[in-house]
Amino acid sequence: MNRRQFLSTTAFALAASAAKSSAISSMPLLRGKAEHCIFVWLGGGMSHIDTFDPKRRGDPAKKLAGSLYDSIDTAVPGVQVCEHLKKMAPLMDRVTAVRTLHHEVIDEHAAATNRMHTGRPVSGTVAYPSLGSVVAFERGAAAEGAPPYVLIGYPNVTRGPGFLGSRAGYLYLTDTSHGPAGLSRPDGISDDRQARRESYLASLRTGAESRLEADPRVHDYTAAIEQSLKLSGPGFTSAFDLEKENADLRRGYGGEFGQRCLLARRLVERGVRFIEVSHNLNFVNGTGWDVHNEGIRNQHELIRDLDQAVAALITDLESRHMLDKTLIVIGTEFGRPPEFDGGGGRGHHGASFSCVLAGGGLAHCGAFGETDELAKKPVADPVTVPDFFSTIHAALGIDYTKSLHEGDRPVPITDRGNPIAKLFT
Amino acid sequence: MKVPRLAALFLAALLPAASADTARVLVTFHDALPAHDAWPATETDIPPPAIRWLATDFTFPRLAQRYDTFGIRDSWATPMMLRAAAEVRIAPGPTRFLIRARGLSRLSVNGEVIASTKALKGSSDGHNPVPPLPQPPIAGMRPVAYGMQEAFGTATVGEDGRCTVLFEAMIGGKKFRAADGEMCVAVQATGDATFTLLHPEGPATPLTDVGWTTAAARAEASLAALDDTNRHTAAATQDTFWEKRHDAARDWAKAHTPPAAPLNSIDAFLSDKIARAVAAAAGGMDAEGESFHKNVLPVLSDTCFRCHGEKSKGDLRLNTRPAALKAGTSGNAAIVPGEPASSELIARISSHDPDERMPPKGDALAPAQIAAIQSWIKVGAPWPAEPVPADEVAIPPLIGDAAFLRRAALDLIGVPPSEAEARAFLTDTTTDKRARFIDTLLADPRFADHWVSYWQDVLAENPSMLKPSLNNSGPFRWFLYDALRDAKPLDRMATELILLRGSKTEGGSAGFGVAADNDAPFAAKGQILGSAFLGLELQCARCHDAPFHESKQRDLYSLAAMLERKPVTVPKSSTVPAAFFEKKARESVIKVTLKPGEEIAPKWPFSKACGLADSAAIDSLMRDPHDTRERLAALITAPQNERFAQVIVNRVWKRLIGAGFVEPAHDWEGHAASHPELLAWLARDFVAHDYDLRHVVRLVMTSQIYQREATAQNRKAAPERRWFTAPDRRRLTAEEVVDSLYTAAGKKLEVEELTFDPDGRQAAGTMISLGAPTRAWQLASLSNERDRPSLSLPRAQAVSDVLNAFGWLGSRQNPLTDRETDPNVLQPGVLANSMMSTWITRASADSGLAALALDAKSPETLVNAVFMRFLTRPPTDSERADFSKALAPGFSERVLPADAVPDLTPLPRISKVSWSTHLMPEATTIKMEMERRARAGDPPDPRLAPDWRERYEDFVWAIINVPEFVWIP
Repeated sequence: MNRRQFLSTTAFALAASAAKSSAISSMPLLRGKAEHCIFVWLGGGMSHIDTFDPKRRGDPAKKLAGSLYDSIDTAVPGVQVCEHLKKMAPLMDRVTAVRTLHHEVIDEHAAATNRMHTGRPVSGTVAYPSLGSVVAFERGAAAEGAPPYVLIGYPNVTRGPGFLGSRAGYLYLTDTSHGPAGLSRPDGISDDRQARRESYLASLRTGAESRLEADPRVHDYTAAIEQSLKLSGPGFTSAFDLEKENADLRRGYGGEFGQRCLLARRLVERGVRFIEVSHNLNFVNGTGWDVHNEGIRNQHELIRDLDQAVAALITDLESRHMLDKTLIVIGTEFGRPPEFDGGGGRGHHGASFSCVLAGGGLAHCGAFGETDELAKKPVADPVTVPDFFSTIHAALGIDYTKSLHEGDRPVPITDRGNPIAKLFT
Repeated sequence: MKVPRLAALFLAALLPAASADTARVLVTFHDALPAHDAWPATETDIPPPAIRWLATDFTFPRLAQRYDTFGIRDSWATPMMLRAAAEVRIAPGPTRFLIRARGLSRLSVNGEVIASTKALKGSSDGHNPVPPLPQPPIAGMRPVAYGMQEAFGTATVGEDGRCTVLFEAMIGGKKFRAADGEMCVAVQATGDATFTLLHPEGPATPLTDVGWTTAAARAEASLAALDDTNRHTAAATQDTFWEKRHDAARDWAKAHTPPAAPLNSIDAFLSDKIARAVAAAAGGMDAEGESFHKNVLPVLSDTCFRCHGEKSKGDLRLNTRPAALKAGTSGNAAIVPGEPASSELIARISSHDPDERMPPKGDALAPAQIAAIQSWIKVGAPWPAEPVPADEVAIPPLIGDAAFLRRAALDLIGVPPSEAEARAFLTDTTTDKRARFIDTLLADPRFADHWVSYWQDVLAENPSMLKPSLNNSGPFRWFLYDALRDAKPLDRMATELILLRGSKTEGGSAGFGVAADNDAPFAAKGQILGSAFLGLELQCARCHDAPFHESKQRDLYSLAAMLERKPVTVPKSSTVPAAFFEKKARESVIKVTLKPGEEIAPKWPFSKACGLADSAAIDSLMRDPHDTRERLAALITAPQNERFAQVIVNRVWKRLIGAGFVEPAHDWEGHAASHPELLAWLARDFVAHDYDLRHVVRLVMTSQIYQREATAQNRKAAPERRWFTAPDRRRLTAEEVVDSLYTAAGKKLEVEELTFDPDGRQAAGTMISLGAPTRAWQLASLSNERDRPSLSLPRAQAVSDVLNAFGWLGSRQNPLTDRETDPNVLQPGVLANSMMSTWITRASADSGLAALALDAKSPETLVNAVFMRFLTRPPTDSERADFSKALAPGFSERVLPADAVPDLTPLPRISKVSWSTHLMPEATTIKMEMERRARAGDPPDPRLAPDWRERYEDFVWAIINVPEFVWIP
């Protein structure tokens, strides 16, 4: 049977499926106007019931399930958050806590972190790119001379470019005391020394090297040297000099995490497309957001720290008319159950948990999706991980139905997610 | 507490009388004790020793390596036990002893237990308090190491000054990996003296930092030699089997090599192809022919050949004229010379019907392209041989000695030669010095270091320091390293890999069999074996039949079943969702032919691709012909499977020359070899030489082509126009960059031990140690998916940054033959600005750069030496003049007078962080201090005047940043 015959004998079946597929493709593509994304990462698993999806109070001493803190009203009627999100509460009309995310990977942080960075289960055959890498790949940097993707946190494979390769990779810094690794001048190298180094290098390069540099590949490498010197030069690296900011503003952002958020704003101004900002200040409570046992004792400090910084970021972006073009995402690998463990802390919970969207020109509603009385399961508007990822893509004007390619192989940009349409009305 | 005079018994029983070496410590290692927290009741309850070691003193920095019966790394069955005994001479009278151990241990002197430590306790969570920094027993001594205990005891030594000492320790446990730490016994001569490591007699080593380092290095060297012996002895038990196989392989190669081959060297084959091509095109070409090559062939080649050339989709090929004149399954001839209107090709490329149009995906051909093809058919579709431009086949000159030296050293041992080696080679006037140099480095143990990373990529070695996840494998790097160190023939290495032997978690080939979070691990491994050893890319077959390959889903799962030794089930997640096909208007190029849940039996699927069918004829290649896993190994490595040998020699060729005869080297299907005869010849020669990797390397490196200037562009050329007149230009690999920097600077690669469990509190299935790397390939993904500062390893991260920038992947979720080689800003960036660059360019006290500067006779000799070390060449006259001038001011005063040298105050000790403490706030602050120290780097050598030293360092900085440094000459 040749192909024509095949087509004619199976015409009916194909016609039937064609009707179905046209129904899918006839839905208009949702497209937001955001140009940048600041992705705040709460490693360890933010307790949604203690933050953005509060429920009735529980009591660890009595093993009574429920929120650890009181709830407070927000700018959006009917939407409450925990008492330690005081500064974000009045701003919740610029925010949507997506309360019905869910997935099944709760045993292992690395696997769950991978799920919430790539939007997919681990594959046996493909290393999927992270959200930041996809955005970097699809949209590139927003300005000449800026990198598309900067990470403020620890390098790891879940944040990497996967099959998209190094051009979709990140520059990283682990904290705000130094610029990005590889592109910020080492401590103790004065301007004079740097000038001397560069003059020595120039003299070597004009010497016996011309024959080697005639090779096109070597030539490309030397072009990369020029770019690298430019990126590590005063222009771009001045973004990392937070001293240049108003002292009150800096204080308003709070501690190291706040300073990272402020730096993220400065990087957005320089044209960086995607910035992942880690909230991993584990010296506060040791465990960060992974509040098993006594790790929960200082959880409120983390929440307050997050509250202050994100509220300051929203306000600062808004005052600069940048909020609509900057999507803020607060992501985490899973949530935590309403029950308390033996040490008064909480285990892992994936059947329902919250991630947060703010700004980015979306039609915010304070909270989306509804969970049951103890935030254990979605009862209305469940949002899958691919849905959440396609919402972010849509907000950034990326076609969330398209495919990326690993060689010949088409890989849908998300695992067939649909954006939360309500946010685009 | 009394125990029998065990030590005496022990020594008597175990030290063979003839070789009684009373000046040594007899150490025995015992597997599989019943419990880690109790001593065996009697001597007979102790399992017989698995390994014996004669040590110099009571210093036990690590355990002897356990090997399986093939000499492949195995794990100790924990808890295991170490016993060390010796007759010791000590001054008479009361003497204080010190023991250090991680878990249960005891010291008996003359049969009486005088000191003991407690059993190891678990700590599964990370909330254990960071222990206070231990104080040394005597000021100046080395404090007890992290996570270890120390205990003291006194024994009275008799008038004869002799005593029998027995030290016993339980190591690991059912829930603890076998890791002994800084275990030792020490003794104190007088009341307030520093303890010295207990030695049977004579001068002993003080238990200070320096003393421990010296004693540990001595013990390490002795253990390394013991490991080698044990490994070789075990491996030798298999030699007869392999000798038989290699006899058969040689017979096979002999029978398949033409008796009087006209061509018998690499260079002869290469010249022959050029000569034939030049002769074929001697007739010249008319305008129509030129137009075909300019306007038609490139379009056909770019758009059609993938399916109708490399493959014959629809039973049609378009890549030769005779083929294109035939009809495929459509029934109409693709090309009818002179009649474009009757040519199916024109009909299809001009069609607007999406079911008809070719190419089926992507944009349609441009009208101008269609017109060009039409007019070409109209004039009769001429297809003349293309002329060979003279410059394309011109032979570049051989490289000079310095360039050869650098190229050969990098290709053989992954680092440039030392200054002395370089000078010796450059002044050697004998004519065979290049061949001799190659032979010397082939025998160098660093040859293994250089090749292991290649196989790590190709075989997707992907270990994790903690709970395997994200497609992690075990650390079978050590299996590969040992096999390469011991020059195991490649068929044997591949076979032993496939047999999945030894330890899964601590370095055996069994680690290759692990694929965490993978729904079909054996399918994943089958895919790797296919691309690594057979040039068969099976990635697509995991979920569906491949669109551009012959391989079917069934092939991959049959292979997986052979490897797993039982039928395998296609997992639900390894398929294509039905919705995918529903959206397609046109018939999909992919097909799902296996249903999830279907059970597939073991069966060799590659009779056609490899030219070798499974039959009883190959039973003689196996120890157990009924084992499908061994059968798979035999089918892959049999001499009759010429594909295996060809794929290996193609890989070697590509690594040394910059392009393969077949490209891509991991995916041969539909890709013609540029030199099929040479490839076959090399492969048979490889078989005839017992699959010896070093033999192929030697053959390639001693050829003329290898030694020419690297100006060719073979990689980009189509196979028919890939001439191999010379090698392609290659950039140093990531590992070569890092290792070269350390070697040239004369500095030791020093990073943290790659583990989150420095105190040995976790099971090997949960956490492992990948050791403290000494070469770049030993680094790994730092596994900080948790994003916790307390899990960071700042120094290892700094080296990883450099490796990553140059294309190394710590996480190898999938096999990789061709790393990314495109330049990016981070490559020059990390050489200019990274922490590692700071460490390398600093003339710190431990660096060869400081020694070089201190000893330099003149600025000129110093400039010469730096050039030679980093670039393997003397400076040009102007370079020498420029930098001598730069280093001249202050040169004679560069060494400070002794009284002006500031003291280097050692940094205060800080605690370690382990999994068991990493969730305490203090763990994070410790790591932040470690990062601060890493960033600051080692202090400069205080003997050098700072102003001059900085100028010297800036010169070194410029040298490592010059592009020449990262390109192989």
